[in-house]
Amino acid sequence: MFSGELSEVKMVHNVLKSIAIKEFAVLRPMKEGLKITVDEMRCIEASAYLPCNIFSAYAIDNEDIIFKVNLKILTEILNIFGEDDHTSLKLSYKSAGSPLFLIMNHEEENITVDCEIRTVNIDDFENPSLAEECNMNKIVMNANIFGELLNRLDSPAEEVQITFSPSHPYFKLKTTGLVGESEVCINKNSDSVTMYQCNEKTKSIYTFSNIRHVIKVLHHADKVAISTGESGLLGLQLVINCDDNQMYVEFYITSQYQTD
Amino acid sequence: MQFRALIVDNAAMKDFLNVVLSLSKFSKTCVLRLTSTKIYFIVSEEENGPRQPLVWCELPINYYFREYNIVGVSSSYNEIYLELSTVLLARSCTVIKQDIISFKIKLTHKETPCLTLEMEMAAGDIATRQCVHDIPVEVISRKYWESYEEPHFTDFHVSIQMPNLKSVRNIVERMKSMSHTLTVSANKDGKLNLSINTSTVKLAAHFPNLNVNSFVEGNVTNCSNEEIKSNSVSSTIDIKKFIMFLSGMQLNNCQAVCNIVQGKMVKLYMEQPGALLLQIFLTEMTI
Repeated sequence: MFSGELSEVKMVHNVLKSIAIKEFAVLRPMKEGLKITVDEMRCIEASAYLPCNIFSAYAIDNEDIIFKVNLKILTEILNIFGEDDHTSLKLSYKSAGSPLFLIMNHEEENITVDCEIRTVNIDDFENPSLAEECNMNKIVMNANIFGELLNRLDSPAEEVQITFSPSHPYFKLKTTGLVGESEVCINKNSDSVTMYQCNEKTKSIYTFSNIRHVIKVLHHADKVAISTGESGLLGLQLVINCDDNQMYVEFYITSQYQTD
Repeated sequence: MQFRALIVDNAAMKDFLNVVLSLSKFSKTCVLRLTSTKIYFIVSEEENGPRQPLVWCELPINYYFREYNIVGVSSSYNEIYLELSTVLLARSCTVIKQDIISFKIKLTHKETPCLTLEMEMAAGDIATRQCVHDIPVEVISRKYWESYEEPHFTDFHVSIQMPNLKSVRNIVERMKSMSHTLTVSANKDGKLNLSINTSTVKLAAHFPNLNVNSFVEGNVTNCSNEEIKSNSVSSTIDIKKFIMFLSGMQLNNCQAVCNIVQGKMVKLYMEQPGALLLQIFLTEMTI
């Protein structure tokens, strides 16, 4: 039903490791690429998207393939040769309910690892278009700068408030914790901001630990797009360069409650 | 009984420390056997009854020690057997990580018999210092010595060269996070397989083209049809014990051999010629 071959295993491992907020992930091989999604109590959803052009071979014969695997085990296996980076990977999934087959090869040492990971069928997978919900305000900036902004906030704080406004201070992150308040802003005219779009002021509060999951991915990413909509849903899209191709990671985080 | 030894070579000190650290991960206590040519660290199963060896480690005197004097229990038995805590020994030996000029090991009689470690620190900003650690030991009397004889097993079904230990270590480290047991199997064509099998994952690493030292044909009983077909011998063992020594020591350039008794045991034999000989006996895990 689905098969793929990869030579850039290390980056894929890093990306999957950084979205592993839950033990199980939903894998969706599609014509355009492979999407791996993890969600936690419908409060946060993280996905990695590997477009088919990063695979050296990619074949699929059915549109609606969807199954669950243990992501922790999958990422461990992708890292089976440790830091050595002379690895190639073949993935295959034969039919609904069959295990996910992986074959990894270490060319220099002539070691082959083959593996079967048990899969779980999914009956009810809701796939609302979260991207459409985040259509109001948007900022695109360098990933390392966004990482820097998050690091400057008071890290033990439980909540973070994100404000988009059409005028100064534009994009603002603010935490209120036991030791006091911390606040960082970035101006829309900053060199690090490639795009800023805000028609209406929005202000929402998120669980800081949910936002902090993004930090691990930011280390590998090039650009990040942060967007929000009327419901307060926060979308973060990250672009990861991998040789000449790109991988994508997106997070959707629900707001705690809407402030006035 | 007298015993006194001195290490001054830095590389030898580091090797000695590595051995002691690995031992301490393997077992809480060990037996130190001192002879006039070699010292031995022996770890046996802690249960009563006939002692099963787990680790047998030989260190040749002339590689490690600048000075070495021993007077054993009698002139015909010029050896000493001591039982001691590997944890205390490891803790004391970690002083070696600092800049040490000399490392002296003595058998002393303080309130109880002790192995006394004297470490001379290099003079830094302050004057030269000496650090002394006493590790209480129990002297094992002559009549129990035979429990600590070198185990000789000759009935292995296969004896095969181990692949690059660094790759083995990397792979088995990952496997350890998924399973408690490891199945080691080898066939007569020189292929070694390390595999785990749990309810969520089946994983096997294949290392082809290894030298087979010996292979017993047809003698294998109680194995599955599949094994008879592929002509391989296997045993399932504790994964943690398997990598304990691989991860602790710098064994990268040593010769290693894996011996398997079908369904019973795996013996790892590692030799760094002139510096170290290590045998690890891993018995089949019954689940």
